[in-house]
Amino acid sequence: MSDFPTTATAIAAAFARGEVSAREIATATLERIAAHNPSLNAYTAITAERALSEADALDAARARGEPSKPLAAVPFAVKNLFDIAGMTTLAGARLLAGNPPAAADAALVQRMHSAGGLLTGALNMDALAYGFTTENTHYGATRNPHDLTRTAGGSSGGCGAAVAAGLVPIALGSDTNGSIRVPASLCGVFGLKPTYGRLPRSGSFPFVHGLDHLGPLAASAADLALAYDALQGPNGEGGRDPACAQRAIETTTDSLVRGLEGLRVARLAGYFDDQASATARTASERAAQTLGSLGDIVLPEVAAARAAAFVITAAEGGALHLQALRERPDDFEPLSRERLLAGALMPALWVEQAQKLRTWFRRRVLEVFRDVDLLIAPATPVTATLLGQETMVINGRSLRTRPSMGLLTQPISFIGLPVAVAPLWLEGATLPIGVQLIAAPWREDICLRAAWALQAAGVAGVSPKGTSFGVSPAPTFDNDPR
Amino acid sequence: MSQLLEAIDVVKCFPVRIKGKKKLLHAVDGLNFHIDAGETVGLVGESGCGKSTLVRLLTRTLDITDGHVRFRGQGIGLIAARAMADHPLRREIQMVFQDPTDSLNPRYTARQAIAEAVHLLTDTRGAAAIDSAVEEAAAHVGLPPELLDRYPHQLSGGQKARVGIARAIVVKPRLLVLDEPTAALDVSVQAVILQLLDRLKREMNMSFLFVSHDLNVVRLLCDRVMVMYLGQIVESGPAREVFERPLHPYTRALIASLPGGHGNDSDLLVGGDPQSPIDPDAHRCRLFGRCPRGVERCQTQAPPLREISRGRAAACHFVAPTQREVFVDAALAVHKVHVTPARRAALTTEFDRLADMARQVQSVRLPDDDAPAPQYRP
Ligand SMILES: Nc1ncnc2c1ncn2[C@@H]1O[C@H](COP(=O)(O)OP(=O)(O)OP(=O)(O)O)[C@@H](O)[C@H]1O
Ligand code: SF4
Ligand SMILES: [Mg+2]
Repeated sequence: MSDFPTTATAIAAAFARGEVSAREIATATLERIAAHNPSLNAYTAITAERALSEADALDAARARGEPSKPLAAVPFAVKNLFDIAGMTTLAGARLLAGNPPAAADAALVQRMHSAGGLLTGALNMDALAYGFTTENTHYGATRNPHDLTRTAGGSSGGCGAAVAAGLVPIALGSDTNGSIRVPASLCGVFGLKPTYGRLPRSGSFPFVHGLDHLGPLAASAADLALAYDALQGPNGEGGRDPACAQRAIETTTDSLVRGLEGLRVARLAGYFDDQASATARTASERAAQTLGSLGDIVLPEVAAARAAAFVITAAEGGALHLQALRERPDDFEPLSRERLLAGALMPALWVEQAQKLRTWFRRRVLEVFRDVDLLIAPATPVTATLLGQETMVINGRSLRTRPSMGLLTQPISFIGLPVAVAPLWLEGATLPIGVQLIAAPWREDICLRAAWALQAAGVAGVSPKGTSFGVSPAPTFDNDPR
Repeated sequence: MSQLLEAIDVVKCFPVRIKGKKKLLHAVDGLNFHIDAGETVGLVGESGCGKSTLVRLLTRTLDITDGHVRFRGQGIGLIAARAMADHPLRREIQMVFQDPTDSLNPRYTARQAIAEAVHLLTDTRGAAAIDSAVEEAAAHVGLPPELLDRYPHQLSGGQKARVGIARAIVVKPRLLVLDEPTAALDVSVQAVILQLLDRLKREMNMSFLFVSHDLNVVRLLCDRVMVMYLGQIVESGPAREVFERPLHPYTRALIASLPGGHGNDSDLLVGGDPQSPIDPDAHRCRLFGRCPRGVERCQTQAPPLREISRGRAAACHFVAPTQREVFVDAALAVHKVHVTPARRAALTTEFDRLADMARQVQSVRLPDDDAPAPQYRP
């Protein structure tokens, strides 16, 4: 089974050429999941039968001579806040465990399916997506494949761990304040948080309507673009996401090879250096240097922007769950329950001011994009912390681990900018750390081209050494990341 | 920090007969508190206020009359005391007793006493493995290996105390409960054992509940303190703050009565008789009669234990909560949300964090054009 290709791009190509059957891929993938998931706790449900029947359907279609699909035979999994037909959508919360099963797949799960993907299961997350470590009191912590005593990041921790361990090349996650980017950074995989409103959220469990984004995590920059292209498109029939911008598909896969030719790059300094460890700063400098950064930029009032995101998140999240907080407090995650409740009780003025700051901050940052096309910043302040670790030290200051993991991601998603994360392994490092590649609204293509360029330069990629499982990494360190 | 233990409205009544009539002695009367992972909590209060009863309820060696106890999120209040011997919980909550002589079997050497705990409560098997666990624990408590083969009567009080502590920590509990661990020791030995406990607290990843009527000891050793009076908690908060700025009249009196303290004589308790724990009047403050501040209202309305400021709670009509606490209580009432006192305390912390964030947001002065006037036309 180790002979099978492991990236999505390679799997789809091998399937199209008839070198491998979808069933072979599905079987090998399910074996890998069965072997490694017990120590990772990445999956909360494995949909083996569905993956096999989807595989058989693809094999039958190929036998009939039908044209191959872009993600044909590519195994994937989704954070357990995506609806999967016939299963209860948990959103990491025991609170929801008694809900009826979903009637249909979430819009993005449908798109992955239509593109030929094989759904392997649902992935663990912080309860209700409120957290950055996937230390889920009810469903257990997800462990980092590079060091099982450490967190996988969160809230899409199961996504980060499943891709990093080579279980699947693509996972779908959600990002409200950093929940795709943090696990991508700590597990060392690629991730994309598209522009707010780009991908429809129908059929996924909400957290903060005005900040929720869905997006892919992947084993290579090309896989990330491939998945993103398959996910694009306006609300489909019956789509219910009022924030979905209804934009036409703007494919990115073909533009990757252009790299950053003609684009102006800058590195974010100021707050993004102050809130970063030396390792995280080195990573952003390394990426900046590789991508030909013109210099450093300091954005105004980033700390206040992050604070405003924090306030809005608590207020909206708290309001969403107030009734359950009143009636079923014991079914909440103790690590976030009182934060949600405090959010629900907050004076409206605080939220109002946070929203005003958001409008102002968005304008200021958009002005920056007149002179620059790509901004670079670390994705997390530090590499993966230990499970249960309460505090971490950044530049001599002791901070609470769980909320602080999002210090660098929160100000960016706050204003909906598209961001890709590319994982770096610095000299001698035993753990990866990601950089954020940030572009103007609707320019996911630039984020992805930057990720691809970093990978092509040999600076970014999934573990060059493989994981502690010895799962062979995707062949992503050659100069042709495709 | 994650919560290790939570007590909710815990009650223990003992049936007693007074002049042939059946009555109830309210030894523990509606206690609410929590102990976080890694935290050292002190429990102080005068003799007979219910400290040992509470300890026996928490270690589940005494059945609870009413209320809930949660340990790591699991309800443990209903485990019958007699079922406790075989319960996995027994390993997680360990106890060090007041009198080391009483609690050690005279026919066991120190090594056997410590090894027995390993054998009964852990999966460690084989003489060599058990021996190494025993020796590690002995080293932890500073018990020289050559003393391990002695019997209790061949050990000093301080050495016996170390054996008692080693026996408790050898099974690596999550919570260590110490009921007056130094009361039976000579003053000179007390100091040494306290130093040992202080070191264990820093070295071992566990929580401590430390019962004492010695305020100075609690001040030195504990992160947080709870003050008990007649079966109820009257004040709780970070140990340093409570000693520096006691809120409740009873705590003030305890501190004022410390020898060489800076307390005020007007804080001392007045001469009235203490109320009885037998069938107490639920509408009267328990301190009334001895309280230097007591007024008419205290006789007819018992003050609830409420949040006063971040991390601090007190039960007295005259201790006013901060505006933030008043706001949070009012908001909870509006939304009809009921929270346990432990959750209420955590709520203040979270609310403060949000307030900090809101303050950061407000520190940015936005130009007027970014705050557009409302537009009524579509
Ligand atoms: N088994 C029992 N039956 C009846 N009353 C009891 C029983 N055990 C304790 N009590 C009463 O309960 C109350 C609390 O006793 P407890 O031993 O808990 O106090 P304490 O705070 O530990 O006191 P000290 O500081 O003297 O150890 C006292 O009034 C005591 O007389
Ligand atoms: S409520 Fe009254 S009697 Fe009770 S402590 Fe306060 S002042 Fe004293
Ligand atoms: Mg006692």
